Amino acid sequence: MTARQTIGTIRRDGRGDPFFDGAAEDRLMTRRCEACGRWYAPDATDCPECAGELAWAEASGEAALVSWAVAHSRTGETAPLALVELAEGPWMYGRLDAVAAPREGLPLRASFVHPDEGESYPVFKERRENRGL
Amino acid sequence: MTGTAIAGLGMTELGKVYGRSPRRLAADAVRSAAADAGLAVSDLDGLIVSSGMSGSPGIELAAALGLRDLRLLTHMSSYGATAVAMVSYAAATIQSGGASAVACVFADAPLQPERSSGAAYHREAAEWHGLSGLQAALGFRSVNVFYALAARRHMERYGTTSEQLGAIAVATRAWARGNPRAQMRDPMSLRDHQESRWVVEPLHLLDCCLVSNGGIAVIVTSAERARDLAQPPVHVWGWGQGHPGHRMERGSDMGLTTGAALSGPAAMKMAGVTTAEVDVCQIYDCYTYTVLVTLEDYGFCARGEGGAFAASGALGPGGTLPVNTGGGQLSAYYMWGMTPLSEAVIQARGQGGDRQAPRNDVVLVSGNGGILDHHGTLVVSPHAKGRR
Ligand SMILES: [Zn+2]
Repeated sequence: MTARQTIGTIRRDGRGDPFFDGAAEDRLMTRRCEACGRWYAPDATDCPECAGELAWAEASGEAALVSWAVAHSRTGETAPLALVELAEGPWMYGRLDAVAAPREGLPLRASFVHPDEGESYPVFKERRENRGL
Repeated sequence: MTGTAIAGLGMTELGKVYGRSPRRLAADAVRSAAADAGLAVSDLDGLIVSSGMSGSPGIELAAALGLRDLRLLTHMSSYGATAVAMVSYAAATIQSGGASAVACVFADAPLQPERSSGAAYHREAAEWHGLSGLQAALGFRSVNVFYALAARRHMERYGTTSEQLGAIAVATRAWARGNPRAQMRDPMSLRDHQESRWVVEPLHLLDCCLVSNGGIAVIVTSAERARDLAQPPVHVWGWGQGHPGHRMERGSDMGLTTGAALSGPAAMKMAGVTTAEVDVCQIYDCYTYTVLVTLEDYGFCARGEGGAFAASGALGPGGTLPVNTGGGQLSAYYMWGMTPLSEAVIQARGQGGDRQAPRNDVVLVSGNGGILDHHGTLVVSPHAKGRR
């Protein structure tokens, strides 16, 4: 097993603060159009459907795997990365945690990391429907 | 007006070329392209500039070249799709009488001495800020990751394998061996590809393009004028663009198809050819996977069969569809869309030397930009359009 690539310290920058406030409370905050109700990724800025304003909204945290990749650093650490589809529809880039056998459509759930230093953030874990995880 | 042609090609030294700014490299490339065409720089009445991620050079290049009374001057950007877009804009302007001799140039210098190629486009930090910082912190630190996600999606959906991607790297390297300008000319086997280190799984190091400093320019004129100039004219037969605007949401085809599906058929229709008549392809190859999905989108094979097509040996020397005969971005030099365009000019002129494709009547060129977000296609030929 190779070492995991260090994530480092995350600092808020004034623009995505509600996302980090949500993560601190184990809630996945993302963007939703106030006018038409369409959901978007946390870093979206516009609703191309209706040109309405985007607001922060809490997503269920349930997701499905679209694609995945493993980044390798020159010093041998790895980072398991993914493109996931939130249950509400939008795609989001994220990091996988303990997903042994990734496949398209694999059910996932956002889980939150609360480091001693810096902001909390989500990672995606396998969602096993029948075990109440 | 009997159409337009590429009348000049200028290339600086390419690769680990240090000490010259992108603007200087661009100016050198334009001067060299004009000389190649048998024109004076002062004969140019149009200049279209494109740049790498640094944003330089811009339209101040005209002053650096001492150009006066230009009738066309602009900076264009659709990332890797820009080169063929510049040629099509130049051709359309010339055809409508807006200019008569237009230089199109790209230059960049991302490589620095004492730094690895990977460092040129890679983010690294101990602290990260905001949502974009979070993404980088989690491991999305270079464009390689996004292409790896796209490639994986294709592999999952269609059963495309790493070995099939490797066949593209191997074929491209085999072509590079005949190109004195290629940065990588050592023989490469499929095993070499498979054993090269992971950059981002499923992409090995040998699935990824080089990083190069340098500049390349072409001169576009009317076909009539090109006939009287120094080089065999490379006639512009057709062009197209495709910007699919994939939404990043449920139902997206991201990774499975690209703007090439719109751009390729449009360019071939304008040129009056089908895939069966294309003799040589110069396909934007930032990654092996990009070549595979582009060939599918153009219709050289069915969707999902690009892997088997590549593994059949079709793309290399002696194959049925020579692709990236100069070694492409994977093995020769990374000058964005100018890599495929420059080799297309060389092949259409019949100046490929050891790597000259057996037939060159119809040469197809692609450009790809962003994460498969932007695409451009050009069809060129040694023959005037309609007179093959
Ligand atoms: Zn809306």
